[in-house]
Amino acid sequence: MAYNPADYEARRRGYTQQYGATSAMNAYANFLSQQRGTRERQGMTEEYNKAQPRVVSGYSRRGMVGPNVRSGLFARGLQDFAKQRARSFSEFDQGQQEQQRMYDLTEAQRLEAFRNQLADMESEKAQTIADAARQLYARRAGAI
Amino acid sequence: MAHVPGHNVEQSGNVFVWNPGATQTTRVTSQVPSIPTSPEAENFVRTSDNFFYGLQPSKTPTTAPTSTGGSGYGGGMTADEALALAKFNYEKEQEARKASGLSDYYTGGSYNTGFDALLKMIADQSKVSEGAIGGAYDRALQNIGQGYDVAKGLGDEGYRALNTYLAANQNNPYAGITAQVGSAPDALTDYLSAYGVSDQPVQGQIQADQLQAQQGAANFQNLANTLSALAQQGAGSRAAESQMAQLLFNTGLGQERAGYTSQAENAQAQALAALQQAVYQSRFGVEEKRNALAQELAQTISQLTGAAPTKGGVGSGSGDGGNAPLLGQLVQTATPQEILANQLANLVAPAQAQGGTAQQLLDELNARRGR
Repeated sequence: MAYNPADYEARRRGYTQQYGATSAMNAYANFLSQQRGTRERQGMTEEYNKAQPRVVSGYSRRGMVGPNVRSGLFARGLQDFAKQRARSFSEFDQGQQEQQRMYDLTEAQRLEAFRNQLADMESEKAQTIADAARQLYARRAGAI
Repeated sequence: MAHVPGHNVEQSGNVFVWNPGATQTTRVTSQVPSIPTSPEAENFVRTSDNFFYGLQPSKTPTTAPTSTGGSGYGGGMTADEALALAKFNYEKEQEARKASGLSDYYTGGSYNTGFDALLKMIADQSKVSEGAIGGAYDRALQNIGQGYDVAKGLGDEGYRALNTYLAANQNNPYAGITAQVGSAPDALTDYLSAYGVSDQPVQGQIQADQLQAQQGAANFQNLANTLSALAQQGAGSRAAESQMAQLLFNTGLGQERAGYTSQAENAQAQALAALQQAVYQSRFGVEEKRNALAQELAQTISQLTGAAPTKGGVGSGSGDGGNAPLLGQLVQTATPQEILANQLANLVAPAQAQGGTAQQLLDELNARRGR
């Protein structure tokens, strides 16, 4: 096999372009996902902020809360509201984290595959050079 | 014409030798008489009209020859017979000269000159060819050595580039991955406390959720660490494979060099063997022709002299300054005077065989010439 540097450069360029294009697309998708998550989180925050007064007013209309009045139901209801709010944000944030980890893992695997392609090509190139050197040696020695 | 021994004439082979009172030790042993370089200095007189080489008649013939050339000579030889005798003796002299020349050519080794020159050409060409073979072998070894260096440098450079690339591009993208846990959500502590409500249940739930999130992050981190370890293992394996491939390349190259060197040595040995065979055949041919010529010369000399010359004389002279006879040369023990006497005896022997003497024959011949 004859050594052809143009062939290796073309292959290297093809690997890089493919990896770069896919990476850019995935990175943009990840960016959009994060942006969407941020908006969703802001929406959740707004929703819970709006819901807080309604929880108190609800218990207030039923006389469970007021001046000098602190019923156990109101306290429990308020704690449940807070726990629900915390759980929602936790789950949302964890979902976002897992999504980000999956993106990171996928990108790491793609990078590993890309580097392996380049390393395989470099190994093949070195082997081709070695084979060419042996063929040249055979010609020099008059064996061919 | 028959020759009768007697009257100091002895027969030696086909030649009649005049041997007046000579002892055995002084007797001419060579069958090839030679003419002295200066016959006059040896009292050897030859005139244009005297075929009998200085034997001057002491007296004139008593009977003048007739015009018809008939009888009347004291010895009983007619003019025609005398002329035939003279012709015979002249031819015999020519044969003796030819035999002498051939003997000198044979015993002196002159005929070897051309063969020696051919052998020298063969030897010189052999040296030239041997040098050419040696030069080709040296060039082959030089090419093998230089080709090895070039190939090794090229291959090593290729693997050096690979190792450099692998060292600079450690393929472990999982090494930078760290599983993080998000911040805990707001427990609405201030809000709850404003209404005199404790946030303890909320905090407990948040802690439980955080613990679950941390466990998930730890699991992911373990996965990343495992993938990172695998990637490191793969990179290490790739580096080891590169070193192994380079070692195999260098080992194979060394084996190929040994093989090429062996091929060159075999080719040199075969070329030298072929050259030796060719030189041997050439020398054999020259020696064969030399031997054939020597045999032909010896046969010719034997036919001329009646005795086989001693075989030898191949190559150059003896190196003793030319005094000693060469190998194969006939031993010459007679003096020039004895040689001349023998020649004269050969001349007069036919006349003696017919009952006359040499003196009578000369007298008659001189008388015919008016002397």
